[in-house]
Amino acid sequence: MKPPRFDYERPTSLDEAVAVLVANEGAKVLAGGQSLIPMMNFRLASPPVLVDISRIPDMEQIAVADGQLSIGGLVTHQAVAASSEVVRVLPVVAEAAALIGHLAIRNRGTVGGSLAHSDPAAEWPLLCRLVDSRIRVHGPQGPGIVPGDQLNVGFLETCLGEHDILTGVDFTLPPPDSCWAFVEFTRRHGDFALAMVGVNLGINSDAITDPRVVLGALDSTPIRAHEVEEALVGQPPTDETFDAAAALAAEVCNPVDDVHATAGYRRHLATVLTARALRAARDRERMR
Amino acid sequence: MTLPISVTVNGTVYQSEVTPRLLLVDFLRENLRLVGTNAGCEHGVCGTCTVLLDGNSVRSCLMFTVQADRTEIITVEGLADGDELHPMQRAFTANHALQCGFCTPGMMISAIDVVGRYPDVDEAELREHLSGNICRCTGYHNIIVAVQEAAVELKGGQ
Amino acid sequence: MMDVQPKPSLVGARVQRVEDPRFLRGTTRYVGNMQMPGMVSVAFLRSVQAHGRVLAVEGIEDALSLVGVHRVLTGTELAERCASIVVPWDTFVEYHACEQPPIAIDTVRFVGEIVAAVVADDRYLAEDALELLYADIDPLPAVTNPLSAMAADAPQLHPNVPRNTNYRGHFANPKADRAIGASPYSVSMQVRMNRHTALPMEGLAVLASFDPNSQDLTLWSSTQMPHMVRSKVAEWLDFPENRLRVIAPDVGGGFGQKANVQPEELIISALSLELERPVKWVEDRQENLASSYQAKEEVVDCTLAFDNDGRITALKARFVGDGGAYSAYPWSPSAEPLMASTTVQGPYVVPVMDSEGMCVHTNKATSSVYRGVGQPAGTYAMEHTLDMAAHAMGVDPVDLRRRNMIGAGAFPYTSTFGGVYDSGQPIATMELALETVGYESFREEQARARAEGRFIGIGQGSMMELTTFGYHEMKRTGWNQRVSAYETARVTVDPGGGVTVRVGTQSHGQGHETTFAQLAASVLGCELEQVTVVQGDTDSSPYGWGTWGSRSAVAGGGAILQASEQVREKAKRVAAHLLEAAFEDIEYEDGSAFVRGTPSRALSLGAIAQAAIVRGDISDEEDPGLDETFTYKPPSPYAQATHVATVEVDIHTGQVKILRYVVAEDCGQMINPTIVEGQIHGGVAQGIGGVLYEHLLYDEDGQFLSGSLMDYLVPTANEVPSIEIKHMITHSTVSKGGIKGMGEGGAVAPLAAIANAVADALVPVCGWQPIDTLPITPESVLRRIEAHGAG
Repeated sequence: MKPPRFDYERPTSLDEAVAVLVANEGAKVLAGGQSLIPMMNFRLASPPVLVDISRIPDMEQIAVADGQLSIGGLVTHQAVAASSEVVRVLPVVAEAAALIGHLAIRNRGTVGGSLAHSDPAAEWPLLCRLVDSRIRVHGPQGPGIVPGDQLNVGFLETCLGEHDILTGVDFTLPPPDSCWAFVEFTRRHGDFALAMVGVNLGINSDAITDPRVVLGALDSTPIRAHEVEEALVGQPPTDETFDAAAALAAEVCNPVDDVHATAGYRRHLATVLTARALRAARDRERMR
Repeated sequence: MTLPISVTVNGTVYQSEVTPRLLLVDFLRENLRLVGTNAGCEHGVCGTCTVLLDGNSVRSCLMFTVQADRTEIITVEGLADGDELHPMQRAFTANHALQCGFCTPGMMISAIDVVGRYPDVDEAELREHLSGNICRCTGYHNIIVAVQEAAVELKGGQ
Repeated sequence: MMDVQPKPSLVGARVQRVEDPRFLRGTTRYVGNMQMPGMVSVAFLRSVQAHGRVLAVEGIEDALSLVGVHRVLTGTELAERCASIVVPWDTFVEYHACEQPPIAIDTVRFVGEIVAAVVADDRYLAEDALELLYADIDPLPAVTNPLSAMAADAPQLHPNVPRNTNYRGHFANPKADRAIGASPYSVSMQVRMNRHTALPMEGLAVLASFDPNSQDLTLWSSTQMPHMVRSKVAEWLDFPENRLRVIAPDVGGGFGQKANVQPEELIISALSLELERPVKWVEDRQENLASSYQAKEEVVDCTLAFDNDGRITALKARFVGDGGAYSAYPWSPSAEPLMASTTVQGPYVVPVMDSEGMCVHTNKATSSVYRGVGQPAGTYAMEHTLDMAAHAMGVDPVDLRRRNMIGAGAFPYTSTFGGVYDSGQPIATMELALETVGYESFREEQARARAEGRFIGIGQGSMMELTTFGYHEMKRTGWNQRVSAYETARVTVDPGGGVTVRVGTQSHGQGHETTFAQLAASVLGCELEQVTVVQGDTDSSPYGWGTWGSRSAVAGGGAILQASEQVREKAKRVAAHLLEAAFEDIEYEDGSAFVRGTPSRALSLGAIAQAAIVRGDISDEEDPGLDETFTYKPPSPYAQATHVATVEVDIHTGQVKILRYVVAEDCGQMINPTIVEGQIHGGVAQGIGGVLYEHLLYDEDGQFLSGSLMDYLVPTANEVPSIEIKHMITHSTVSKGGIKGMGEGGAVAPLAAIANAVADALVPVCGWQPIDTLPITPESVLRRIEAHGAG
């Protein structure tokens, strides 16, 4: 299990990096490498050129300003999980990041790498749909922005051009009284989830407002469960409401069979986890 | 194509020329002959190849050596201070936390990172944090005992 | 009067392992660590077809045109120099041996089978060359289900194995059907045991170095059986055995997977002989999962019948093993169903038993032995069917066992199959486990939990563990055609008083450098540090049978005890000569000999060795030297244990969480309880893996679906609970030192204990339902609830 040959470039600016990508057909960006290198070790990926972006400055910051949380593309999952700033302003992001793989993977794997890899069972694409967000991109035309819920368009597929580099993500901070939960189901701790659900909602005078429910690992990308959200809006945050809404989750997703579970089981998990996430969000709010 | 690198391993600076595809685990084992770091799966799951890179535990099978340029690496060979074993090593042998020994270097490295970050880690948390390292011999029982013991010592020593 | 206080015995002491430092410091000696001048690496082209005719290996010239690629070896070429692997068993009537060329010649029979070998400067280059090679294979129909593989119209894998049936052993008893028919109660179940792999953290690794000058071939291999590997590699390569040296240095786990001759050992040796340079191959994880010996897949049928008092009247069982494509030397895939069918009785009185084992070839990687070999399946059959019966009869499962277990007074007890349980206290062992877990209070807690909507359950697995598979057992079963299972130890005292123990067993994690030193040091009364253990090198250790089958403590340990005693007796004789005293008046304590009553004039072992070796200051009747060899024909003592698990089942997801895991076990005299416990911990973890997680999957066409550790799930620290162990000590009545084997036992009972606990937890949800498919995945739990739940 040794990787194939490739040429290696380590530019120190985004423009230089983009130029290398433009000049080399099939070149791939290398960030933390935690998804790409295993594929190369299995020889399932053979990019002729790797563009290591780790020495490009200004992509390793976590910043909170102007009502948004900005995370640079090279920030590691562990840095997010351990960030007191993230825990303070957007704890769902820190909690989800802590569920990614294992410590040694989180120490190397990057936010930008995960978003660009676009695994349907990855946490970051789900978070970008759960929280209003914008993806920062640098391409041949310079910097640009992609709405967070439009980045991941399919299995291992984004809307980015092949010469674009994902440089960061900005999350709009939700109202401070919104309540949230992120739950996932794995066979073993740290495995890719068989299903995961993120919820974020407000509770105003015992009625649910602005619910957002996102399902992960249950389709070719994470998906907003609009039908579930509609069943929640304006309803009291009771178990009955949650169960009725969660039942719809099984119908809106489109999971596949694999060695770990059938699609049918995953649909079932969609409902179970949605109900659990909604309860957890409400109960967390009540504890405040 | 080869590239020059400079990497500090266990306190020694190594200047070398490597092909881009050379995995860090193979550089350590084959080029530097630091064979204590084992390659157990070469796809980032088993944890046997874990080393400390600038203080963070990482999979050396999921890094190209060129990515380690200008970094500082600690491998199992760098844990002891001469004849004096690291507290984690002492706790592993005192508690029979190793059998065939193949996972042991990576397990100790991961454990050192974990107890460094979470000095007051309890058993349940520790089991979660070490779940990226597979051991096939010990059933983890004595590893957990050993790491908890070492955590106490390492905390007291700070 | 001088008071001589003997040191506490080292046997039974919790001694810290002496081999640890090199593992802690990373100065290990695994084969994969080795480099030699001129060494080249090998990668294998492996079949992507489950069954097919090999038409050609294409691209050889392209591969050889790469700089640094030296050789592409095909099966046809290798066949000129290397015989096929064949596992004969002439003593058994219904047995058919297939042939396996180490590199496929005209037919491939599983995904992962070797089609060509590439030799290059390093593994990276060798894998580059693989990308240029292509095996043109014309697919044949594949068969992946052992039951359908037995059918007359099933695809035939081997010309000389009719109906793909490698083995059939029916210990028939026509009374069984009659007894079952006449009994007031009988229950039956079928279970499909999952395909496992041992997954040692170090895969296989082989390095061969032929020296054209001396004409010697040295083969380093991560094997559990270096002497057997030497014999068979020499035989099949037609190379003089006394010019072949096999060295197994540090071995990173084996669990049975490395207790076989590997095709790769033959190929790498052949390549080194041809190229006259060191050739190395280190198995990667993908190869280890797809191609290394697999294990434990069986279809099990079991019927138990009872009288009105809940006593077993008859047992009928059938175990059909999925043997995979070929037959591994020396065990053949029949070992699994054979062991299951002959040990299914466990610690119970079974008046009438009809038990059958079969092994059938399929288009999967070859099955061989893995920790416990058939005993987990046999124990599962008995223990799960007992729980089924308890629920059918409305009896507490523990009470049912109490009524049927063999009483301590009945030992030695001849099992229905004819094995002799030498000693044990199964009931007391079970009671100890139940007391530790708090069986009665758990039942109360369970009732409270159910009222809260939580579903917890308790289950047990009790077993007799056939250990050692000694000399006589091998003869009794005819396995001695390939393995006679004696063991030799040579214990040598050097003139400085140091003791060297040489033995043919092969530690691969079990800590023999410590435990064997404890044995010799205890007999010779010396310090542990004075003893060195030499193993795993055919040049320096006596011919022996390696480490497998929970044999080393009994077989190797027994030989060491006896050889050490012979050394001690000789030391006393030499001392009698030196001290001019009668032999009867010589006492030997703490590593020195003295005339009774005058310990102040004691002679140390070193002083005695000086006389015996250097000066020849011995009696005329005595041979010089202090060097004794003993060859032991070990017995097969039975260890026994009860495992109790408590679990919680999330009935909404099907997830099973183990709450507590208790083991009460009796392996007779322990040499080092810390190491015994470590073996149990590791075995239990592998058992937990087997019952809840691990599953090698093939699709119906024989495509392999578990090619990574993301697909084949082994338990991590988070899936294995803390394991509580209680010891019973009933000395073996047949082995030297009262020792019983125990290395595999930890892995034998968890399947039954956990499955029983899961079934128990689900009683209020769907009634007691047999768990008929392993592993118990969350999805399978939900299906069970859906199929049987009240709704």
